[in-house]
Amino acid sequence: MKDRSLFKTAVIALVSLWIVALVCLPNLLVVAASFLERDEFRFVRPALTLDNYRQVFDPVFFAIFMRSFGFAAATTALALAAGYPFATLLARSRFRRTLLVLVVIPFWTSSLVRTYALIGLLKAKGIVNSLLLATGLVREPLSLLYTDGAVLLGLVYTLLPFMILPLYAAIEKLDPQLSEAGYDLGASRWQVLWHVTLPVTLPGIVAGSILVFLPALGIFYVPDLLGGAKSMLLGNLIKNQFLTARHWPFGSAVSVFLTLLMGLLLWGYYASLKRFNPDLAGTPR
Amino acid sequence: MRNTTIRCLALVLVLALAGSAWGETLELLTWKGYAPDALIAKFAKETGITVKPTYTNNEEMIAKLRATRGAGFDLAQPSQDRISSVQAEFGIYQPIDYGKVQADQITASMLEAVKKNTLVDGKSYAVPHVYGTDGLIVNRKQAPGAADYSDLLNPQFKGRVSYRLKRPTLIATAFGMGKDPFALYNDPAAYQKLMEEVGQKLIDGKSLVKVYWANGDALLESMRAGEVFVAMAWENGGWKLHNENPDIDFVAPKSGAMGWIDTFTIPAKAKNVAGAYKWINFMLRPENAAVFTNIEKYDTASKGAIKLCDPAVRANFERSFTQADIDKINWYPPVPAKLEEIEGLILDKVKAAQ
Repeated sequence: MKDRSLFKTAVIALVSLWIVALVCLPNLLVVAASFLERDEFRFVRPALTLDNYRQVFDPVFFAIFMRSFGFAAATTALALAAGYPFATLLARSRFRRTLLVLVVIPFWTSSLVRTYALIGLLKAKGIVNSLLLATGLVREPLSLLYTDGAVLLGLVYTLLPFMILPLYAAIEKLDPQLSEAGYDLGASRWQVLWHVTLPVTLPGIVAGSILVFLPALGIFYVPDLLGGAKSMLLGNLIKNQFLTARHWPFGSAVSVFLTLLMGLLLWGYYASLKRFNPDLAGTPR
Repeated sequence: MRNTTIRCLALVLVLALAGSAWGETLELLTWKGYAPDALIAKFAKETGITVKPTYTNNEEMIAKLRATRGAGFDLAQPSQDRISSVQAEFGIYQPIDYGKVQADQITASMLEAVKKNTLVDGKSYAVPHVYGTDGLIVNRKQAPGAADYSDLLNPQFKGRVSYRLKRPTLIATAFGMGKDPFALYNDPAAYQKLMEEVGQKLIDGKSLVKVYWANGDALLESMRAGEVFVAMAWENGGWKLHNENPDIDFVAPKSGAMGWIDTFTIPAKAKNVAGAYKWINFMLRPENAAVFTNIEKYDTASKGAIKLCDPAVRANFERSFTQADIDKINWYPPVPAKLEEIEGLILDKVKAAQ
């Protein structure tokens, strides 16, 4: 008994230490850096300033924010459109386990490697163009790589599992009797989907959307590799400030801004949970 | 048991001490490839000095030497444009005694440029070693006319152009516009104005770009596949492609290729200063410099070394650089602190533009 409590204490201490040292501290450093001035040699100069936050609202950077939100929203919409039917299928299929494994398998490979695989598909002498040329559908190879379309494809492809899994969890829990009751009361398929299925699975939709939307803002290698670095998104901006421009304070300010935004979205998620499922949200466990 | 451990430790200690006492050593802080084994062996035979290289890059070199205030290494190899501001601020190097350097084996213009660019309080801090340039790789069959940086903004090559969104591109574009950005280095206001013009040019030319490359191999792949005809890049890549496809080659731009030079500098608290000068003179001796160039394909500041290189390697240089091209090279001057911030903002604007 005594041993176990010792073990418990040790584990809790270790985890707390881990969180403090590797999560809280670095984040605090980022917040601190965002209020300091840039220094050529030491990265930051210990002089307080709000300039970095002012710069976030510079029209140039604001355009990047807007474009990033556009891309992230489009990614989320496409992932939802592709993910919802698939998750429904998954929840009802006899081959559920196999299909789930198929959804998860891509995680076994680094997403960077998978992005390179997409390059292999899309490039001028890539698989898609070779097929199109061989079948005579096109005469000249299409410009697929280094386009906005390629970026969108890459984002949706990379993030789709994050949409499917929460949707699956929500749809699987859906009581089939609810839909049957709808049909019994004379509702059409669409009416049941709209008035019964969607509202009940809304927490899954919101969770999936957040899990897709937020990383879509931050993934920098997809626009770099598939878009030819021509369309800059928020993640690229931050990476660029730290690695290329060496303007750590501004990079930190953008990171803090993004974090706050994510916080806001999560708050929205809980608010929606509370609204649509008051019992659940009322008793946190 | 404990006895054995102690004995082992003592043995190791004795061996380590003996090892350092046996021969003179030279701690070299350098780039990967800059100290080939063959030359280290030859140097040891000639002088009895064992060279111990540590491989790194500019930023780490500066960081390491700053941390120790210039101790721990006998010789370092930072790029020439990264020396003077660091030296002025932190004093991590000692002045070069050019009397101990065999100037007759060094290309004079390069030595003078490096002396000038590393001048701090009337003393110079570096000797040139390896150089290369930012120039163009051109598919001559597809883009026969491309010969200058301005062709990266030539509508004729729409959708077939590639460059990096990095400071060399801003500077190259300015040269392509007939301006001399280096002349404005010490006038931040004028430099800012020029960079804004450059930025606008690049924004206007954005629709011509196939890809802003970041990875050298990916660029070569795009050129191989015929997606890109004109690119701004380093000579090694162009020569590699020329081997595979004679239509593609490195071209020194008309307005002058932009040259970087990696140097030799002696850290402030170097222990083996005499050995450092020996290695400098040894590496710049033409026959040794030729060995280096054959392996790494980079040319050196060693006068005439290129004549001693393998014909294939030599052919690359002679094909891409005439003497006039070499004379026209714009060597990067030391970067004043303020400029990188200006450039960063311009680059962000270009990236953010549609």
